[in-house]
Amino acid sequence: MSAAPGPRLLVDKIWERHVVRALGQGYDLLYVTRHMVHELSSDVAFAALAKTGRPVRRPDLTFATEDHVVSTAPDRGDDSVPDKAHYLRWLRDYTARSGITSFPLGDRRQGIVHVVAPEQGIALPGTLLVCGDSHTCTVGGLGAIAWGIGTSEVAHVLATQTLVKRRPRTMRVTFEGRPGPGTSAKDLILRLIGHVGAAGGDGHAVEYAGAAIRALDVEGRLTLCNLSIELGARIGTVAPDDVTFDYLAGRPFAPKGAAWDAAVADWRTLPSDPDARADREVTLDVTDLAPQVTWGTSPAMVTDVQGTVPDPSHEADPIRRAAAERALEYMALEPGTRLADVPVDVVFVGSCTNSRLSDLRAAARVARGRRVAPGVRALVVPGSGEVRRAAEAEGLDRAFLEAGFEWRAPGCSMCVSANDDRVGPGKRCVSTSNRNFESRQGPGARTHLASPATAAASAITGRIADPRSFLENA
Amino acid sequence: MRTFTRLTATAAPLDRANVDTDAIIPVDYCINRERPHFDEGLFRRWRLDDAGEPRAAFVLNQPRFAGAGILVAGPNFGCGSSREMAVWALADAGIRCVIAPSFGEIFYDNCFQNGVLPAIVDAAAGAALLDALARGNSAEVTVDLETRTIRGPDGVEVPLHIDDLRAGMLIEGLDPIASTLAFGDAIEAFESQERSARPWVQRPGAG
Ligand code: SF4
Repeated sequence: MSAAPGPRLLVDKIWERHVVRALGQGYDLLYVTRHMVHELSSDVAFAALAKTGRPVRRPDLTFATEDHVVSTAPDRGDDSVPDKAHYLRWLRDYTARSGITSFPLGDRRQGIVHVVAPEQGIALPGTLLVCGDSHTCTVGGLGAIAWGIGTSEVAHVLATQTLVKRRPRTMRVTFEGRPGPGTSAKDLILRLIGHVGAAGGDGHAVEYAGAAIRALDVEGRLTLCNLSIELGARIGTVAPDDVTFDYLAGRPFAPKGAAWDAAVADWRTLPSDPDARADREVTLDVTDLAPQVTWGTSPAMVTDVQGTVPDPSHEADPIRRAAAERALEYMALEPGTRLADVPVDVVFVGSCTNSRLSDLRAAARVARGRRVAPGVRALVVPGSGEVRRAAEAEGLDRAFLEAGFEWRAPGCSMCVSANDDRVGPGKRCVSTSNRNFESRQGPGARTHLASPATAAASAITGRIADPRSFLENA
Repeated sequence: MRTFTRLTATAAPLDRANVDTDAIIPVDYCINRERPHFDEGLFRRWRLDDAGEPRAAFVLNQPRFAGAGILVAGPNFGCGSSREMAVWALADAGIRCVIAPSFGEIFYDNCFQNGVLPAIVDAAAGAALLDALARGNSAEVTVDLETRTIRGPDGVEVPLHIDDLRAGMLIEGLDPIASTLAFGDAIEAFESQERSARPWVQRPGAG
């Protein structure tokens, strides 16, 4: 390893401590300090390993949960989703045989992989965490570097605890100013994606900085980093600070006692050095930022909730114009339509983006004492069993149920529709998840991404709605 | 793993930017299937209508591009989810090379695990290639990984951008896990050094 002269960024510091061997041309053999697996991307990897007789090198650094295909019905069992139970049995069988800690259905810790990893203290500042899911970047919110990998690389990590990776370029986004009321981390990151585009962070590891980021709690930072992949960046990070350490203290797999003190002392050395510069520096003024909502089929097709559907003919770039035209056709929207006039059929509060306790609180604040509009199906899917319990302890479930929302069991649900939770063909959904791609929420589904508060307001109104009016009278 | 050195094949132009992996293969076709059948899901909703009939306008349904072994697309191809089935679907359909100005990073890495070449070209060269395929009579394209060139149907040659390590992986068809296991001693040395430097990392939850 070469000595690293001069000031360094957070990402570089974490990267360098994981280099087992430099391979030349910018490639490194990297040690993976935490590996999360779930049922959908791991079965082929486990099978590949089993076929070659290679053991799991570090089952003690590997953790499994069930989330993608599980039913979210309140009374669910393994067989609630037809044809999917074998995924769960396979994972349980393999993890048991390999000695991997696992959170199966029925375990209080079960939930969406990127909700579980921070919540259990598995992801820690300064670690390198990977998982066979592209939103692994979420846990960068704790000051880790984390990214999604494919099934073959899952097998590679199981067998070797390493990955061969080229060092990414660095990009730092500084959010200046104070966002307006009724906004959240989701609005910050959607605004950024609109600003730089769906490939704006391509090939970069992003660090989010600035006063607006420091003011976020850990859950907000996780939401922020979650959408890094939607701007083309595989890695998104926020420097760890006392907010991070307070969040992690006492979590089951976080260090304890003297090890905790040593860890915190180490974590304090991680933030970017004052003079360090990223390859690309972006500044975004979010003064008075309004709640954001997408109108198209890419997260970059986003605008203020009070805005209108843009006119593609005003777009100079031919590729972008064609994409916008196709998006409006798919979304069945006309240029110039006020988003607040667009009726919705389904509202989904959940996913690894927005299914933590603070998200559910934000949605409940809007929903409490009100009623879901007639004809709207509204679901709340907590991100984990722990989130569900905590929410129930403070009565959020009752607030949702009394308002006419469904209160469901933890899983990915309508984010990816790999179970039986689907929006329905031609139906329109305001969703707190992260992808509005064609048919992502089931065949023919039309998705508008937004924050939990905006989603809840839309459920009550029956149209895309600005949550601020609800909060003013709250 | 299958090697990739040189390929001459019919190339199909898919003139779209940001083609995501949900479009390449919907999640339903990722589940309960085994290789080599992921091609059933390839561009399913663009290729077939709701009744399962081919959409005549979709490029892979056009007789000119039947049996395409190469796909040419707009920027940021394969963005979105990490599903490796997107690469398997292309490979199972006989597509061994995708040419585009840029790729989603995870998709890009997944290609190399499967002997599929994601060939990066300059934006102008990509646009010209799409144009030549849409208008020309021939759809034959040659991709030469050893000389790092792509020869279009009009005979124009453009450079293909890739680094040596990745090109080598495809040319030699190496098994990545076996290659890494050769560093077993270095990995062990790293672990023992880490156990003393940062014990809390090597022993989750320990005091
Ligand atoms: S909630 Fe959606 S994005 Fe998150 S892990 Fe599940 S499928 Fe992936």
